[in-house]
Amino acid sequence: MNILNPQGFWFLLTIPIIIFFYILKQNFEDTNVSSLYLWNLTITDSEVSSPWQKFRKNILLLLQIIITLLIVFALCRPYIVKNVNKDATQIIVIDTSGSMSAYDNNDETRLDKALKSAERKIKNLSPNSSFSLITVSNKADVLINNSKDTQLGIKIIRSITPTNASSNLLDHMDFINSLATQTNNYELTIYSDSYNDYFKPLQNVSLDYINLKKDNDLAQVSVKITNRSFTAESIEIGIYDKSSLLLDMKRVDIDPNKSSTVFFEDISFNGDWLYAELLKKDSLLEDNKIYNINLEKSKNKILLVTDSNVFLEKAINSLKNYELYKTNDISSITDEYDLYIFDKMVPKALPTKGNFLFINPEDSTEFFSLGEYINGGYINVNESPLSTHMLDMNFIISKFKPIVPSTYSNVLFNIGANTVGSYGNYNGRKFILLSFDIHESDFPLNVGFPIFINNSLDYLIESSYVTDKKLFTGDTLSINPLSETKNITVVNPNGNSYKLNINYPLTYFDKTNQPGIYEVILQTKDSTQKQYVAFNFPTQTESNLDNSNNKDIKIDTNISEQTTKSKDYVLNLSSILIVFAIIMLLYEWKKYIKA
Amino acid sequence: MNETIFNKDFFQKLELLSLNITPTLTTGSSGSRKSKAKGMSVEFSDYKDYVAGDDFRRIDWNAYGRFRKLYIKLFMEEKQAVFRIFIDCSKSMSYGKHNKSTLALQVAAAFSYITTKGLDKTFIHPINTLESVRPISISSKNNFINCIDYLSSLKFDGNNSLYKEIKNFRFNGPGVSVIISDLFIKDDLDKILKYLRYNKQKVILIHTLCREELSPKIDGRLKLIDSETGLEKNIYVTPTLLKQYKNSLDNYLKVIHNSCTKYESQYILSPSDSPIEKIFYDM
Repeated sequence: MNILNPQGFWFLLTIPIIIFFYILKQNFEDTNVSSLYLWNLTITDSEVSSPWQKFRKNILLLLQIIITLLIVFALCRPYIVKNVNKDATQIIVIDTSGSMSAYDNNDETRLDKALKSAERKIKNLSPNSSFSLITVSNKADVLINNSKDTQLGIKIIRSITPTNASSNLLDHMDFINSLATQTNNYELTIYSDSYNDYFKPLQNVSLDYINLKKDNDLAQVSVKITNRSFTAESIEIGIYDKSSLLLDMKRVDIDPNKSSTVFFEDISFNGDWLYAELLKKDSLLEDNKIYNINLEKSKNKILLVTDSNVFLEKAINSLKNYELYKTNDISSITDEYDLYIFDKMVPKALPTKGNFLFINPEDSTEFFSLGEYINGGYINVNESPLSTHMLDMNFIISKFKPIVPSTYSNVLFNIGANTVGSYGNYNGRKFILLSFDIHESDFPLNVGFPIFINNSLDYLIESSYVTDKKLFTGDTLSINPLSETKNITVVNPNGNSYKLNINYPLTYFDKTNQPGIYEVILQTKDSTQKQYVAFNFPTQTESNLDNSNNKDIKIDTNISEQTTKSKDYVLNLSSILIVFAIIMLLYEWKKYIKA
Repeated sequence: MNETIFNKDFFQKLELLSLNITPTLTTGSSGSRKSKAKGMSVEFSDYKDYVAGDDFRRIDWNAYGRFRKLYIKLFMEEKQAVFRIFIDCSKSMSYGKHNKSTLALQVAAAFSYITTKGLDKTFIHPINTLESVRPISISSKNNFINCIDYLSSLKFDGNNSLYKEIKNFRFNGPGVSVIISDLFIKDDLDKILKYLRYNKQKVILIHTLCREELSPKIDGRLKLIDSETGLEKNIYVTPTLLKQYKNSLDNYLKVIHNSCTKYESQYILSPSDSPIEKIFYDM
C-alpha cells in the first residue's frame, strides 16, 4: 500500500484535541431522583458483573477516535497498485517535447500528468525490480539506467522540465529498443502525446511565423496564425516591442484547421526586436508568442574600393554577416559603410564614418605617412590582436613602402627595422595599413591570409558572431567567437546568465528551452558587443494537440509483445475508508444518540 | 382540603369502591362485620348442645323434634374491624410526575371512606415524618371530612426508619394494617411484616412507585441526587445500564413479593399513575 498525500497525517493532531474536549465535556448533569436505592443495587451489580464497565463508558470516545483515524487515512489517499509483472525492469520513457507543455486541465500539463504517473510507478516497484528513466525530445537522454534506488529516481523525475523542443518519438525507438533488450524481463511504459490516447486531444491556436521589414523608421510586419482547433476562432493578435509596449493590434477570424497571414503596416518601430502575441489563452501557451529580430541592425557593410582583388573578395565573402560592396570609383564613396577597404586607391577626402583597411596606398594620408619603395623580404609577424593564430606564419613580399611610426599606431608586420604593416586608432577611427601589394607577395597563398582577413574584420568592425538569428527552442546556438574574445555570456529570456567556455571555431549553447529573445554578450579586450537571437516554439511539429498524428506512429515489432501502454491497476482505498467511517458514524448515532 | 388530590373525580370514584377483605375477627367492638365470635346478631351461625345455664329461649325445638335432643342456636357476633393505615411520609414519596404521595393520600382516604361506610374503624398513621404527627381515627362517615383535611395537611419530608416507627406502635388486637410506601427503606421488610403478623395484623402492602422509577427515561452523564439523603452518584447512562436497572428492579420487587408471600401478606404493586379503583380491584 502507498500513500499519495502524506500531508494528511497532520490531521492526526486532531485526536488529542478530541480527547481533550471529551475530558472537558465530562460534566454530569444534576438529576434529582427519589432514592438512590435501586441505582446503588444496579451499579453495584453491574460493576461486579462486568469488568468492562469503565471501558464501555468510554466507547463513545473510542468510536470517535476510530472515525477520526479512518478519515485521516482517507485524506492521505492510500492506494494499492497491482503490477502485472512484479520483478520486471521498468523502462519509463517520458516525452518532454513542446506539445507536452499543453495543459491537460487547468492545473496540470501533459508532462505533469506523465511525471506523476511515472513517480507512482517507481514508488510501487517491488524491491527486486529495477528501472530506467529516459526523456525524449529532440534527443534522447538516459537519466538513470537499471537502478533500484527509488528515492533517486523520484528526485530525478521531479527535476524534469519541459524542453519545448521538436520531437519525433519514432526517431528514438531504436535507441529505446536497444536499451530495453539489455534485460530479459522488462516492461516498457511510454508517456508521449504522439504515441497513444493517454492524453486527451486539445484545441490550440498557434503563431507560426513572423516577418519584419524595415522602411526607415516604419516596420511592415506579417504574422502567420494557424487554428488547430475543431471550432472557428475569432482572436486578437498584438504586436509589442521589447518593453511590451503595444505597437499594433488586429482581430482575425479563422476557420478550424486553417491558417491565415495577418499584415501590420507602417508600425513605428526602431528597436532591436519585437514579438507578436495572441491575446486569448489556450491549452498551449508557448506557441501564442513569436519573436523576431530587427536584422537590419546586425548586418555589417563593407565597401571594397579596388580595380580587382580576387583574394580579398573571396576571403571576405567566406565570412558571414558581412555585406560586401565593390567599387572602383573613388569619387562616389558615401558614408553608409562600416568598413572601407582601399586597395591602392585612396580618396583625398576619406569618409567621415566607418573604419579603414588600407592596402598598398599610393600616398600618405592623415592616418599614416609612407616612405619610398624599397626591396622587400620575409615578413616578420609581430604579436598583436590581429596576429592571433598567425605568429608562425611566414611569407615574402617583393617591395614595400616603409611606414613612418606614429604614436597612435602599432607594428603588425616588419622586415628588419622597417614597418610593413601597422594598425591603430586615429581620432576614434580604427585602421589597418599594409604598405605592400598583396599581389606581389605570397601572402594570399599563405594559410594565414584568411585568418588575417578575419582578424582584421573583427578588429575593424563589430561583426556578428552569431550566425543564426532565428532558431527553434531546443536547437543549439552556435557562436563564432571573435579572435580576442575574453568572455561569452548568454542571457536567456528569464534573465538567467550563462558564462560559456570559449571554443574555436564555434562555441555552443544548448540551454534553449525557453521561447524568447536570448542576448549573446561577447566581451573582448577593447569592447563589449551584444547580439540577439530569437528562439521560437516549433509549431510545425508541436502545436497540433488533437492526437491526429498518433496513428502515424508505429512501434517496433520487437517490443510490441511487451507491455507498451502504462497500466496502473490502482485501488484507491480512500473511498473504502470513507464508507467505513460513515458506517461507524451511523452506528454511533444509532447506539448512543438515538438511544 | 387539597383540591388537586381530592377532586370531584376522586369522590365520584369513592362511591364505587368496595373492600374485599375479610379479616378474622373475634374480638373488638361491635360492628357490622361478621366475626367468628358468637354473639347476639340475627344471623344464624351454628348449633350447640344445650347445657345447664344456656338461654333456653335459644333452644331449637325443630331440631329437638327431629333428633330428640336439645340444641341451642348460635348467632354470629358482628364485630367492628380496625384498619390501620401506615402512610410512608418520607421525602422519596414526594416524587414523580404522578406524585406517589398523591396516590398514597388518595388510597388512605379511600380506605377510610370504605371502612367507615362498613362501620369499621380506621386509624391513619403517618410514619417517617420529619416532625411528629399524631394519628387520626375515623369511625364514622361524618369524620371523613376531617380525614380529608388531615390527609391534605400531611407533609412528605421524612427520612427515618419505617420499622422503628411501626415497632413503637402498640396493637390492641387483630386488624388490618395497610402500608402505603415506596419501600425505599433501609429496614428489612421481613422484620416489619413479621412484627405486624405477630400482632395479628392482616397486612396489605401497597407498593407505590412512579413511572420514572419503574422505567427511567434518562440519558447521558448524570449526577443523581437522592431527594432524601442528598447523596450523589455519578453515572453514565447507557442502554446496558438501563437494562441492568430493570433487572435490579425486577429482583427487588420479587424479593418484596416473596417476603409478602412468606408472611401471608397481600402485595399490590401500584404505579402512581394507576387509577385508584384498580388498586381496590386487585385486593
